[in-house]
Amino acid sequence: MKMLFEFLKRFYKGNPAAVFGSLIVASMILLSAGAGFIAENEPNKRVARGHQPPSAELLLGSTRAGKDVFSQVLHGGQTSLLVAFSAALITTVIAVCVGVSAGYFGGRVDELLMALTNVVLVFPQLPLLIILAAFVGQVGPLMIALIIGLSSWAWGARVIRSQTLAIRNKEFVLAAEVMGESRLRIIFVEILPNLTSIVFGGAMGTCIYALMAEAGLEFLGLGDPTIITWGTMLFWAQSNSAFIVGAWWDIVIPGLAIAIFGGGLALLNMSIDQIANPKLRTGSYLNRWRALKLEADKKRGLA
Amino acid sequence: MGFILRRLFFYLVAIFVAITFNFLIPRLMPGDPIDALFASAQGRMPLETLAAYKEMLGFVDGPLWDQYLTYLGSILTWDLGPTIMLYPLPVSELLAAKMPWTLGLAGMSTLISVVIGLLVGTYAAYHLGGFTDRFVPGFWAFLGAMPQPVLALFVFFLFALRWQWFPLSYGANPDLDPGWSSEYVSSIIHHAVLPLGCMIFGGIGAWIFNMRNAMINVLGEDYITMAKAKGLSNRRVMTHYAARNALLPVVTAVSMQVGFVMAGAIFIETVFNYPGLGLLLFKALAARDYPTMQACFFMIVVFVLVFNFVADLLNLWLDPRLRK
Amino acid sequence: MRILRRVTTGLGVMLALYVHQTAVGQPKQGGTLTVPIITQTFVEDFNPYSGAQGDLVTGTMFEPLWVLNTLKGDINWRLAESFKYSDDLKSISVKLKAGLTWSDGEVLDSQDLAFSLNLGKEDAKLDVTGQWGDGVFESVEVIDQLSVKINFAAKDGTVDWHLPRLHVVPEHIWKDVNDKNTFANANPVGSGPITEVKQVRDNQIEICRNPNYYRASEGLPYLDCIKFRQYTDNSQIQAALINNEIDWGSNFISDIEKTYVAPDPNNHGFWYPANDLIHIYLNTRQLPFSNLKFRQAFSMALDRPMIVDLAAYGYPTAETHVTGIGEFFKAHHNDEVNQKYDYLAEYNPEKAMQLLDEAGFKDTDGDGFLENPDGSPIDFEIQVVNGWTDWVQTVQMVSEYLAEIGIRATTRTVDWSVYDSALKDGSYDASINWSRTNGEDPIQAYRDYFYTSQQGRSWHTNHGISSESVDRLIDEYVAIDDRARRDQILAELMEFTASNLAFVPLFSNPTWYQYNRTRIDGWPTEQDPFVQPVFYNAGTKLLVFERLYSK
Repeated sequence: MKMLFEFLKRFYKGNPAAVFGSLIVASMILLSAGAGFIAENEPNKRVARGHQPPSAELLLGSTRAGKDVFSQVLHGGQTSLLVAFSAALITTVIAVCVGVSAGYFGGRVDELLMALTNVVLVFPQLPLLIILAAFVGQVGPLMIALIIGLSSWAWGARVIRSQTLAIRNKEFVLAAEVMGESRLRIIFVEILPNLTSIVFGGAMGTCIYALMAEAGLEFLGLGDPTIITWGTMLFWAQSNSAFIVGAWWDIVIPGLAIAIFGGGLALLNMSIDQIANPKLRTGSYLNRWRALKLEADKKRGLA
Repeated sequence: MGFILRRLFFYLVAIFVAITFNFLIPRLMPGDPIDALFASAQGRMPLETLAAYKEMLGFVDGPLWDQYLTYLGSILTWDLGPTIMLYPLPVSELLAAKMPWTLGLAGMSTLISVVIGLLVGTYAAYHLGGFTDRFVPGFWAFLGAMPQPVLALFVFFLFALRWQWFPLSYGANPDLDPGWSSEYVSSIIHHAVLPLGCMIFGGIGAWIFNMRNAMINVLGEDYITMAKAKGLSNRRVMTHYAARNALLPVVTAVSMQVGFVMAGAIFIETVFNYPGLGLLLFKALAARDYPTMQACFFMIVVFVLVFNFVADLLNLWLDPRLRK
Repeated sequence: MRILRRVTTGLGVMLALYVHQTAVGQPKQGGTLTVPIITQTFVEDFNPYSGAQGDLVTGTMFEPLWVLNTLKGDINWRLAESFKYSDDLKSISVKLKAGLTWSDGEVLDSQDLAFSLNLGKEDAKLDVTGQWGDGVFESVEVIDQLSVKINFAAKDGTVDWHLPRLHVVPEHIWKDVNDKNTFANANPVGSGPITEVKQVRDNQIEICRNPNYYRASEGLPYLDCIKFRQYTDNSQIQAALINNEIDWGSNFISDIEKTYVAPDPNNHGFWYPANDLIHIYLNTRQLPFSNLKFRQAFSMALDRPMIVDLAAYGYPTAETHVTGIGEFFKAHHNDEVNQKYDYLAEYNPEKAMQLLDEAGFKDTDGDGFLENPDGSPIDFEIQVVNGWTDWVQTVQMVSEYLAEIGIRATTRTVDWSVYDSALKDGSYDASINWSRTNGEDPIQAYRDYFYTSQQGRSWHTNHGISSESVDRLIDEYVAIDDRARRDQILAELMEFTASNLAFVPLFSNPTWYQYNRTRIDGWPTEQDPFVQPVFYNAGTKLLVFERLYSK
């Protein structure tokens, strides 16, 4: 427990990106989870005339069908975030399995898995998603999560594989092998823990991608328009020409929701990069260091 | 040489997989293209004509294997048959008309994004801890996460509809004769500003961030210190040592991105009625136009593979380690 | 070819100017009409049989024999000057006007007409009137230079409704064409006001004045050219209309008063006269729809004006009768029958709940929703095509209203093919769809609803309700000419429809029609409704175009 606390402290100190990122992600998750309590209106109920602007009763206005945008964005968040997380989970699991196996076992297994990975990698994701989505017919959010999960693991697998390769030949792993530890144990106890940061980073990247892909698919009308998610909100807003008729809130709000959450995740992602590679860190301390260096140089007659 | 051959072989395999996938998926999709054609005709086609069309377009064909071989053959000879939604226009003609626009859009946006990303990223890396470095990537993380369609719609509404600074639709002014006249070319540029802007805007945050990281990594290398110790000017270090090596991961990243860029074009093209492959794919899908859909998807895959191959060649040129 | 075209266009212009000087008070000649077409790209295809671009040339390049103007109730004679049924109703004679020419100067006569009629015989895809396929036509004879006689297989007094759909094409060009379906007709020869192709681009096609138009002596057409512009969906067309890039729209526009009319109320206008009726078709072969009172309650649970307002911006016309024909055929409405059954179309949820209770639908398990009299739960799906957003919203609202009276129903968005086959097989629970209530005569609607041989062929006949007596009434109507008896039959059919309520009428689809007066005037409007402004109908398109002139 104390280790966790220490770790968190190190993570957040002097890392504003991490702080902001975490705050945003956490608050959005909380807001969506608590949608039932926070929003007083049912998301699917007609509570006002169509396209009413934001007001005291309707914080974020109403959609064309007269439904509460605030309530919809919160409830929709539940589904959208769930899809994003599930897709990220599926992708990560597959990527880890494939990447670690390829990196650790090497040889034929590696060749085979890498061939598969490379082929999946070069397929352009969104067109593939579009065709798959249309193939399945009317795709509900769950199906979208599945499809995204099954098609986006390749990049992560590749990265994990190269990292596994690097670790695999380190002494502690060789030592464990010599000592006769079972392969499975080696993988889970020696190798995996060292992959956490890239796995985590990859998962977050996939999360962002899944969120955008889901919104994109539903925007194009390939999703189930009767289920409320941020993507279907965009779809309905566009079908009702939200911008042109002046009901900007109908389309901007779900867009902002995606942007804010995606941005938060991206910030978190960036900060994780910085932990893994401290050279990438940035902050005001650098200016201080520079000032000091300038002073020192002056004294030495170099500047 | 071995490297190139290996890569080529790999790409051939990928193309073959694409062809097979391409063939299977639409066949397994629910939906009869003729009935979908009827839908798009909005009930204006008499019912009797439907049956006759069905027969004509050969949807009562033989076993799957025969159809596959025919398909394979048609790809090799580039005889892709007629489209369904624009019967009897040949698919290859339709593709040929749309391809240059998507290539142009994707190519230009990648180029501009890379250049701007490189410049800003380098600047940020160089002035580590400065304003640009601290805030720009973070800020752009949010802007970049704004869904493409929303951004495109907003830009369309404001700059094209409201203020009328830029046109609403098309790759170029429909009243002009296509050609290389300066009038037509400037019309193309005028029509491309908004779509390009949207595409660049969405992706540039990632580029800046990646460049910055790549630059920082490179700047920390020993040979940079060595070069500086030798007394080389900053500028020379930047261009001949740092940038050249930082380009390596960049080139790899670009080839990865192409797939994305092609895809992102779909939303932009839909909003701006830009005559590219993305829009075609989407509309062909809605019309269950199998031949067009297959061809479109295949085209996109081929582009991605070609770009990847070019990236591999560039890698080879830039990284002597690969040459042995 | 181009020089010849230029010369003929030049001659045409000179002729037009001459005519202009002689005709007093006529609008000036010249100007271009810009019209949006939803398509992926334009191609060099001017074949009226073409699925892709038929709309560009029917009516404008190829004139019909005549146009049935349903709004005014009269016939506008075009290529033909008259038609006459034989006394035994087993044939019809059509007489062309004298002095007609094609755009290349050749004479347009009965040879062309007979040729065009016979095209449908050799190839089902060319049978646009459907009369060969339906087994009505037996043979075509040329009587003299201007007349053609068509012999029927059986008595039929309705052929004149279908003949306007015929494309009259020049025999001297088309007789040498091998595959008339794929024939691109790149150098088209036509009979209409606009035949000379000026340019074909991916995103624009421009077609100009016919140098040998048979009505040129009257100064027609006023406009020189039509420019067709390519778009891929409605919101682009909306933007283009607002920015004055196009003159005539035929698409759904969101919030049209605010976005289109308000910025320029003098020039921007629209008119949405009622078109075909939209119903929710019910599968009466299964519970709960097999119960008449349930169907009646369903109908009374709906607040149609509200649905129209919210789901479709108020553009459609809420339906107030349940007799099967709507505003389009309001001239045929029967007040007696209407009075008897209109209550079924009124918003009355209390009465609805009462009816349900009477019929034995009770909430036996206390979940707030009613069950069937036999105890089984009620939970059906209303099908609608994914992507038809205003209808999806309509169906969603319908489910909400049903929920208010305790009926559980869900919106099921499906793929077109699923929707289409469900309607034809009758395998749906409930489905929203059009009806044949915008044709030439109301009998077509009833034939489409109930005629037994239509089952499985049409979307609207498979709800499970039909009767032999209805079949016989329809047969009788078609074979006679007596207006009084026909009205009687209609009344009986209306009574049958209303009392059985096989489908629940919602509203009349509007004819989507927007006009832009910035450059062109002469438009039909609510104040000057000289014709139904339907672009996709060759005849009405022609009648509208003929009146347009450049300001």
